[in-house]
Amino acid sequence: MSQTLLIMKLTTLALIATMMQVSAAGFAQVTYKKEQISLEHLFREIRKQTGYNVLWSANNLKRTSLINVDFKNTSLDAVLSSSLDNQNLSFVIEHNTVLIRELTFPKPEKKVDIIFRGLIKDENGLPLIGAGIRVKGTMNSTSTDSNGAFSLIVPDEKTVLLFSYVGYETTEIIVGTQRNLVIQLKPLGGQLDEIAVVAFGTQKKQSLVGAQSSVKATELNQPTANISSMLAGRIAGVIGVTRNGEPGSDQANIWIRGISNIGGSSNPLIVVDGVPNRPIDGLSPDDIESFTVLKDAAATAVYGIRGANGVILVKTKQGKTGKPSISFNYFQGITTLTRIPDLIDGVDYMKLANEATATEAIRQGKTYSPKYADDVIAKTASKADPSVYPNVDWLGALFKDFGQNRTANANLSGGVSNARYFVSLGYYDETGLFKTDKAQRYNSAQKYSRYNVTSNLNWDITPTTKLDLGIKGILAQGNYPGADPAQDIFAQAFQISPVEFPIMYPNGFIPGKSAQGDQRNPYADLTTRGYRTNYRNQLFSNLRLTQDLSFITKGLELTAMYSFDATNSNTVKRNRRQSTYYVSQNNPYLADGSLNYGNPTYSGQRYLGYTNENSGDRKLYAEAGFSYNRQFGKHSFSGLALYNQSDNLNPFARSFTLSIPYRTLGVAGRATYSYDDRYFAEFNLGYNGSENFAEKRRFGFFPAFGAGWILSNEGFFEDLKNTFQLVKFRYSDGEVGSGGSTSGYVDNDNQRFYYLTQVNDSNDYGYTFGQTRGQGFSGIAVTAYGVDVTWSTTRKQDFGLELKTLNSGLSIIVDFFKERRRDIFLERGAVPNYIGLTTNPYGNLGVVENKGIDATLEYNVKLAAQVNLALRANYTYNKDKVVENDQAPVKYPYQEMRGHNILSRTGYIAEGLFTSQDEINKSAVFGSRSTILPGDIKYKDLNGDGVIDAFDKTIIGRGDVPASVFGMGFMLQYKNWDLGAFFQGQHNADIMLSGDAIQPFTASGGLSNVYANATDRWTIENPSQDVFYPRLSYGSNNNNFQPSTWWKRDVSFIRLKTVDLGYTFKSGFKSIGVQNLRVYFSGYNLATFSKFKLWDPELNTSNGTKYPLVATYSLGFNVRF
Amino acid sequence: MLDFKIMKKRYLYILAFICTLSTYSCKKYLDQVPDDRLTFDEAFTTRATVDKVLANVYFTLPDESYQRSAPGRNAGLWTGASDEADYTLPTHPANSVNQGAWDATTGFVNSYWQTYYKGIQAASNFIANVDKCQDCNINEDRTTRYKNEARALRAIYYYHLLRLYGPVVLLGNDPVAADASVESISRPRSSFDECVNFIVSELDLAIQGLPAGPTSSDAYGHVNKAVAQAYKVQVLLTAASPLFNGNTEYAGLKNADGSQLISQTYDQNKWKKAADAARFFLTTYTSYSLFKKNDANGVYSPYLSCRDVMLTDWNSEVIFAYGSPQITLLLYDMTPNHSNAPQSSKGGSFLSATQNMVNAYFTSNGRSIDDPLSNYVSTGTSSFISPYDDTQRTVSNMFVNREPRFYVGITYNNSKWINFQDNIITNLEFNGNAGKAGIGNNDYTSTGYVVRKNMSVGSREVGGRTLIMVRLAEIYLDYAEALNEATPGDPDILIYLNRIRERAGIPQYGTAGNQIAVPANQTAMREAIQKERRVELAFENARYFDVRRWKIADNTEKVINGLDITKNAGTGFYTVVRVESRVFEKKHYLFPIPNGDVQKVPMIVQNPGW
Repeated sequence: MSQTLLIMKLTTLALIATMMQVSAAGFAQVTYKKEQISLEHLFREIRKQTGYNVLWSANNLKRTSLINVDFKNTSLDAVLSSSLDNQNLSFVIEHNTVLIRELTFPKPEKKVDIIFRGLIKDENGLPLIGAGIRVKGTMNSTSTDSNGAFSLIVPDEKTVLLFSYVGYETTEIIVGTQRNLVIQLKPLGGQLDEIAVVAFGTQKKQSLVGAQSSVKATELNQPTANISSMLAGRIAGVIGVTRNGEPGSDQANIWIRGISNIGGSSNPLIVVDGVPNRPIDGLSPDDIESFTVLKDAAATAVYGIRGANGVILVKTKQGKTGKPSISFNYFQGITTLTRIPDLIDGVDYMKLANEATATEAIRQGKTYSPKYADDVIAKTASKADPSVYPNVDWLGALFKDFGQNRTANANLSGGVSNARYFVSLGYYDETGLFKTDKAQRYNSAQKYSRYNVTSNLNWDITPTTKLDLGIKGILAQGNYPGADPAQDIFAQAFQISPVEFPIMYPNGFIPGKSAQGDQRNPYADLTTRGYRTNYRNQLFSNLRLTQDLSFITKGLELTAMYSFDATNSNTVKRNRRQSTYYVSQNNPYLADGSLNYGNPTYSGQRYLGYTNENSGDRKLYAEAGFSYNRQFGKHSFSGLALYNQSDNLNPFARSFTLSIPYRTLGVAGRATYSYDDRYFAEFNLGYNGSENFAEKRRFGFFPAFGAGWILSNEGFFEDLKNTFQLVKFRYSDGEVGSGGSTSGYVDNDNQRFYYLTQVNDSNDYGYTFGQTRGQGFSGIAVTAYGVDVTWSTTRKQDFGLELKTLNSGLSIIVDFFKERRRDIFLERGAVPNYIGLTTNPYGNLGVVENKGIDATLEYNVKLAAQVNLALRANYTYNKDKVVENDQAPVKYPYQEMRGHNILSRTGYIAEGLFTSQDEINKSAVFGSRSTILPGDIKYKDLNGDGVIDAFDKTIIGRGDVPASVFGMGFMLQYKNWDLGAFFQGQHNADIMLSGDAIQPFTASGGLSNVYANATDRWTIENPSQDVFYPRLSYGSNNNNFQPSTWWKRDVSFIRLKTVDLGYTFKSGFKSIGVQNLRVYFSGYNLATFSKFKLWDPELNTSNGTKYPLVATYSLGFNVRF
Repeated sequence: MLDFKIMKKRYLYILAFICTLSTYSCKKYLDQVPDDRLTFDEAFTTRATVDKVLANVYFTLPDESYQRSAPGRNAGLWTGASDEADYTLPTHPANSVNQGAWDATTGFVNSYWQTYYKGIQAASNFIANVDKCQDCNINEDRTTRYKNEARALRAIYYYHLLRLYGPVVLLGNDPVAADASVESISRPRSSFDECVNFIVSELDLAIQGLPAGPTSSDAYGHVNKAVAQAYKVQVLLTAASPLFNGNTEYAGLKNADGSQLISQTYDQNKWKKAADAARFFLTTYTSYSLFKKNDANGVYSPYLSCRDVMLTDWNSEVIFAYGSPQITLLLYDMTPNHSNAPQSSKGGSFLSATQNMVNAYFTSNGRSIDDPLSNYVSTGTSSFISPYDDTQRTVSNMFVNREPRFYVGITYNNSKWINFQDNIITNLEFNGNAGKAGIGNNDYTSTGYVVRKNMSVGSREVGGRTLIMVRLAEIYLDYAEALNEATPGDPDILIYLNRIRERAGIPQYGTAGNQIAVPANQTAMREAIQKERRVELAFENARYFDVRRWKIADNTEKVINGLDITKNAGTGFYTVVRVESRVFEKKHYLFPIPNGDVQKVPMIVQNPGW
């Protein structure tokens, strides 16, 4: 310290001496004008013009900046003074030598604030209005004016300025000597590629070693109430199916890399804005920034006992510094059903019913009397008297041709440098296609509507402290016909034949025959049974505090979050069943010519009843932890240690046991290391527990590691870099758990606290004594035997390959995965029933293996000057295999479920239709030989014992969840036009046909409706094997409607899921403040290609009685101010 | 590789550290146990809960009123699967039996097996734990009584299994631990005689500790000495019957060690045991008597007696009855689907009585319809007033001059519906008010008859009565049958058989002027007893088992006849037609052992033919 002081003093002396000498010389003059020249250049010029020898050291000039000079006969002294000003240099003129020296002491402290001016422009050079400028580490900030200009007082030259604007990358500069600057900001577009969302944070994408995929929310912005129905085929690794098209109920079932649990939940954990266990359905796609699916152990181990089914991370949009930006999106759509089952015409129905009756008469050796007499058929065909001889298209009676849906969404975002906001308000509604009856005084129209409010606020409270608040609210309401669920109405139409009774009698009486609950009039069910309303509100709130702990060590951060979510749902049912009448068939008309209604066949209620139900939940979640992130030269380290706990409460639980909060608690940890962006390693772990298990087996420990290598960053790869811009390999291996109450609420006391033996007191199994039956006792019985069980554990291995080629235009990511889940929680199957246990005990018994591949391909290319094409495709294939399920031993190896997939279907193998009585006599048959006729299905006698019985069943199908799901689409931009289409499909899934309508004349005792394709059947005249139906039979047929390969159908399909055509007005509306206006057409579920034609192949129904999926044609616009 | 144990320890420390910072202690956070619920041990400590545990042991008793939804509530499918009746619901499991479309994997095959064994385990659990009760013995030694009730019930449940499946697996006295390994609980079927001996010895043991009859009005419905003795009679009668007594068709039914499961030599002494047990009952429990009732004029009414014995709770004939049956279901099944009728008289016609059963009823002069001396006329109509009716009606001669039990048991065409308040004449013809076309839906009788026995006289919607499981008439018939085999010609045979006929209001066997000649020999007597039993116990779940233990099912269970419901009276309604061809093969004498248990415990052998 003292030495430095001495040197400084000496230097001061020397400087004074020099100054004196300078004044002595001043005759040489310089004339020179040039811009942006270096000092060296100037010095050489001076040497040339004046003949003075200028001496400098290259070292001294290193940190100098370029200058503009304009001298006219200026003295050498003045030239040097002005040129070296602010350059940290001094000069000495001695004789004819100029000596340039470094200024070795600071200039006198004159604390003058620097006024910094600038202009912020976008990528096209246009000014950005309202962009934020902030002095880093302070609250000192401003924003640009209408010309994109700003000025800001900065403390010194070392000041770092942050420039930010919504949609653009935040840029930092050091003030230095600059006082005036034009800054061009880069748009954010590529950010998703650079930074990846991971569990509990973000990570540089190239450093990822876990398997994860993401999709931008804009791809999911389609006219559907539930965003989950958009995920299948959009993200590699997601198997998804939508099973219902009813407004508000079109959620999809989603499995990540397929089903890997036997029984129990296979649903992924969904994390919205860092809070686990939040539903995604109901969120507005306009509010979502990104979807990320975490698939392997490295990515999910930190979630411990909740991660085994995979994790979906959803991030909602956040505000960006800048002028307020308002975006408004609106569309209006028309909906139709994708496919309506084609049911038979009444006349055909009667003819076929007679044929079926005739074969039954043959079989039973009875004389044939037609079910429908010829004159009845003739009268029905003539349609002259529809009240007595009806011929009804029941589905036509239920459905309108079109419904509608629409969305309006407005969001406002922006921010000043220390506070940012994103606020959005959305509305969605959808009407169903069920008809209503104008005569009713209530509204039973099917309609679902929803309001979304989202606000994300971010404050920088101090330079090192950030506070983020997110509040999301959903208010949804549905109005439905009285029958619950509405699908039941649809199912009714399959129970009633077209000639059973008319839709309505002329006087408004409801036709109906049954005094019981079955065989109801579907139209009356739909329109006259009242209505049902459902209100649902949901509030998500989360508050996060992040504190930079750089003062302890650089790169250390503390973060804590608390969230409170609440959902309440209320359903009011107002329904009734009115009296029904049936006009006497013997004597349909009274003497006065009016219909003879007689007494009611069912005496119903006139007024609507009232019931109401509430449900909902409350969830608390808290986490707190440290993260660390630092780079030392080529070495990067990061770490995470985080404590978290959650508490889910069902306030409407039916029992105390179910009302006890569902809790988890645990620690998540992560350590990553990378070297030179070439080698990556990561270690993850989750350690957590839930109340569901006995104390000593409550916690699970789940470690995982991953490693990555970017081959293309190696020096030796340099030559290949023109061909492959990225080649990356990664591998991960580790364990993740499943157990506890991750999937929300169970509905049975016995499904909680498995370690406790549970006895239950119930009237369902009591007894009554006493002479006057006065001694009634409820029964106490063991309902669950306590067993010491714990979570199941999945080992997941993943090998991934990432490639970028064609100038980074084509990117391919392929993952091969293998999973083995052990200790699956199962009911014991091998305990013999003669032990008399009330229920089978449970145990950690099952083992399932999954293997598969998922892949993503993206290709972006500029085809011509203004033509851009983007292709995207992905594919997921998963093969699950039951290794152990504790099933009872089987008699024959072909009955073994082990070795097959979890949802395997069992049944008989159909060998065709019997061609003759002789063949029947020689063959093994199902049940009694006397019940079989030619045209009946012949089954394979697998055990060769001469009869067809349950021992001849084997595995004949995979089940309704597809093994593979794929999607592919393109987006073409030409000038202001954009056109996109996306196909989605599934493969390797099957259903088994059975039930009303698909079993002509045998379901519901023969009364059910029949598909129009019933004409495609085996007959004596045309004994074809190539028919849809075997011989028609009436009443019941034990042989023909057994589950068998005859009725198994492949439900693979490819669907034109979306089509978008848009036109963007980039200018022309600027004068009214519009930045951007896009007008578009959007089509959803437009076409389906499948070998299966009877109904929409995605519905998993055995006979088509599911509300069909809807197709939507919509027009909309999107405007940004 | 990493040492996970050390890692685990470290993370426990970290967790512990963080937990100490958080407001809860972590242990407490997850330490939530439902404290509102009874534990297994607590259930046995007070009488209040012991009564409920015991009620649950009783719950395994079959609620036969629930047969429409069999095997729910352990109800049998016996009525619809015997030649008495047809359940006209296509999905009813009895129809699977009748069509032969069932096997060892069929649901109900497992259901009865599992349900009775659950009852056995519940009883064993009860016996093993009831001594924990602290207040059961105030004023009365209830633990002993309850224990013996459970013991008797357990034996009764074994009997139900035995007559259905043949030889079963005996589990002994102690309950089986829930987590016992399959090896430790694997055991073979015991022989039929071992099973019978076990059941009888258990019943004898229980009888020692049980009261003779109900000690208070609250005790009705509990098992007592008489109940246990009545089941002992049934067990022994079953054991003596041809199906199980030296049935050489079961020669192949052996355990792996070669031991025969069903005796191969006929043992007449088995009949004697049954007869002795029945005689013991009749001489010991003398408070029971056949139920008899006079009409409004004070004149003995066989019709009212035979009808109301089923409807009057705990009448003098009732030995054991089910306390809280789902009786309205049964009433619905037996009420014709009268179109345009009020709900009180509009039902489902689900339980159709067969022509076979209609023909089995005697005529009013006490003879079978095929007896030339009977006053039966099969064709034409007459104007006739039935024993319960208020006026003459034109009915088929088939229904004229039949015995009173016919009018108790059968709803036939043009008869007055039993619920007089609604004043309905049941017409079962094609276009009739309960006929196939007349109602226009599926709920019509398949035979032109509906079962009526056990039908309440008021609204079908009113329940609230017991359902008889054992009554004295059955003991009489058991006794007569056993005696006729053990000591043919024993005078008691005729005495007890005639008591049944006397109550039914038909001529007795004897030598008096209006009496019918006594059956000439043992065979004729056997036939007479079997005919009487078929009629007296009609629709009381006896027939299914009787035709099997008598080994006559391959004759009786094949052809089911009825009237032609597709016709009106004028065009052939009264033509007797085949309604159903049933499948009955040798193997159908016994249920198969459920396939699951045969697979899980390979030492359990399957019944022949399955």
